[in-house]
Amino acid sequence: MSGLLRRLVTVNVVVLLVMLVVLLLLPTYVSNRALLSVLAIANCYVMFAASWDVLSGFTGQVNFGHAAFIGGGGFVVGLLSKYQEGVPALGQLASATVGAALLGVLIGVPCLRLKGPYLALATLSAASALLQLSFVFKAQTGGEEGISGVTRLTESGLGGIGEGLTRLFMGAAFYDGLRPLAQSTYVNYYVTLVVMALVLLGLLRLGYGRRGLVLRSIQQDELAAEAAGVPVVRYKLGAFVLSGALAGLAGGLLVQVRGSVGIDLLFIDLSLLIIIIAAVGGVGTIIGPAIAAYVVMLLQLFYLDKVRFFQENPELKLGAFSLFVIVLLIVQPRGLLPPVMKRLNAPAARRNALTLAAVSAAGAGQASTTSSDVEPATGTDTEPAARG
Amino acid sequence: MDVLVQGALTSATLALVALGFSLVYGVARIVNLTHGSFYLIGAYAAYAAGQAGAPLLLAVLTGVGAAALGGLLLYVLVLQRLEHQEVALLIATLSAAVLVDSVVRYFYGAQDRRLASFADGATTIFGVQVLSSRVVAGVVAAITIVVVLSVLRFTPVGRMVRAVAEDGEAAVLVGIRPRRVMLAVVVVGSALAGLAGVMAAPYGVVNPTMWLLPLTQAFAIVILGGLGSLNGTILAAVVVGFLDRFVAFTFSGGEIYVGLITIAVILTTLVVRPSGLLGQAVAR
Repeated sequence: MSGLLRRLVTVNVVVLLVMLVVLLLLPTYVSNRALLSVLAIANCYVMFAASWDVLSGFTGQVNFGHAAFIGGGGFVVGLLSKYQEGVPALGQLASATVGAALLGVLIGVPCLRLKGPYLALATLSAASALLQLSFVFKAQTGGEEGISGVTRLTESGLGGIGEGLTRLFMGAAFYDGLRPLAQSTYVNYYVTLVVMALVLLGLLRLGYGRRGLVLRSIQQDELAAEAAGVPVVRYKLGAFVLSGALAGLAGGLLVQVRGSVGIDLLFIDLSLLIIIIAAVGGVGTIIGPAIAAYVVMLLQLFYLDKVRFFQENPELKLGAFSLFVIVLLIVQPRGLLPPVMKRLNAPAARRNALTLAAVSAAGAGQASTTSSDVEPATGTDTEPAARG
Repeated sequence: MDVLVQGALTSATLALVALGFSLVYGVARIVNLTHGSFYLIGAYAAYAAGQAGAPLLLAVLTGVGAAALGGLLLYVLVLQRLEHQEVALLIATLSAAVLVDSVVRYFYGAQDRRLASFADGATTIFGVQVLSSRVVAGVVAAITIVVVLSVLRFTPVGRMVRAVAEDGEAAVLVGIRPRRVMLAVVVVGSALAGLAGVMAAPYGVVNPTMWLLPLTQAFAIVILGGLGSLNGTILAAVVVGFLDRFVAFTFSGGEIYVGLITIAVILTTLVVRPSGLLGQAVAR
């Protein structure tokens, strides 16, 4: 079974590796530092989108409040910088990850038995509850102002990695000749790139491994998955926690790159932007939303910000994206990338479907020792699987 | 006493928004996240009409009309094309809400606006001083709700709507066109939200983010009352309305907590009794 799966992984991994090599070498060919700072932010958004996809694309629990995790992680970093100056940047990131994971439990448990609109509302309101709380504790969170003067990424152990990579790719003399501000641009870029690469590789491995199949089986038919012996509750909650933890990590990282945390990280706008990115890239593919995140962020921060009309009316950027995604949902509901990816993946995907059927059949085989009426449930499980 | 009077008035306005939301869900099975935006559109259209020098009544009608038109466009352009696609509908309607938000921001900026009211000053009810505009809003909302519920219960049109809500396919068999009924319901539901927006605007805040709180409150009310149950919606609106005012009056700076209370209501209901107060067990 793994041999067949590996082929599916390969296409995605190849795309990812090409992407990574291009991004690693990019600074040696492009000396535009503005582009690099935009890409550092985009790297964080890639993680936002990919972590959203693990929960929503795989288990089908569509999260309309992903900003809760991002802002949660961001504010952990911000509050630590403000009140616990002794904590190093790396410790802040770890706390952000753990904090967001706890938030994942807190939100995930009540959400276990919710679906569709109920789940949408619960996640949406969880995020706005955090936003409201940030106003209630205005003295600590700074309210509309947020917290500035956050510990910079360059001051952490991770900064050393970034520095090392910059020296490696750009040459030591080049790095030493830069002003501190310019140095931090390169460090931010490389650190976010490394973290993003690790997160994406991990998620791809998980998503296209056995666990990914289990997660997808929950989306396709929860009852059938349960009948086939899948511990549905554990997986659903696990996806929530993992998604939250990674989003918290990425949120913390973004805050350290920006040097400030604000309530914009808790806004519904951010949650929607992530959904838009995932919808454009193709929900449930990990790599699709990741690539779409680059496209959307570059478009937004590098191109649209230079157009005078959007400079004067920044609010219309998200409006334009919203309009685009509405049209997209009607015209090409599976996203822009999947049709392309599907071409590449076609043979593997077909076998993947077969494998899923085999997995559930095997699972049902185990379960049927205890109960004989699971046979029909298996039928319903393989049926949607065959579509893939 | 303060809480009782104010709570009753707030409940009526909330119920008006939630009624539209509940109708659209009950009949068309669409959770319309753009619903709060019609509240916003109503308020801004009335504001624009007022700026243009229209008399107050005309401004109110403009607000309601604009919201109804918005509902029409939304149904024809978006909702109809995404029939039965639950998640896509949620994403599309939320996107539409943000789109409206940003367009309003483009034309009117982010600052708070003030709207004229039918009645200035304060009125005394049972010894409680209440803003007259709140009283007008509450009374108009209550009357509208009674009218809508009566139409649904006692007229042939109402019977058609209830038929579609119960079983769209069976409705086709007796000569009803479900899509037309759904269109009408979305338009009316949006108009109701628009009316609530216009009436609440003189004492509330008018800015581009004013769609979110009514939306979550309407959603909370509908879930508390049981998705699809109109009586439940009205009952739940009263509960949330009184809670809302109770919190606002009891705690200092209580307006901040109003949103939180709504969310607490939602989450508690979802965990404790997902079918709501008057809803049947939810079929999943």
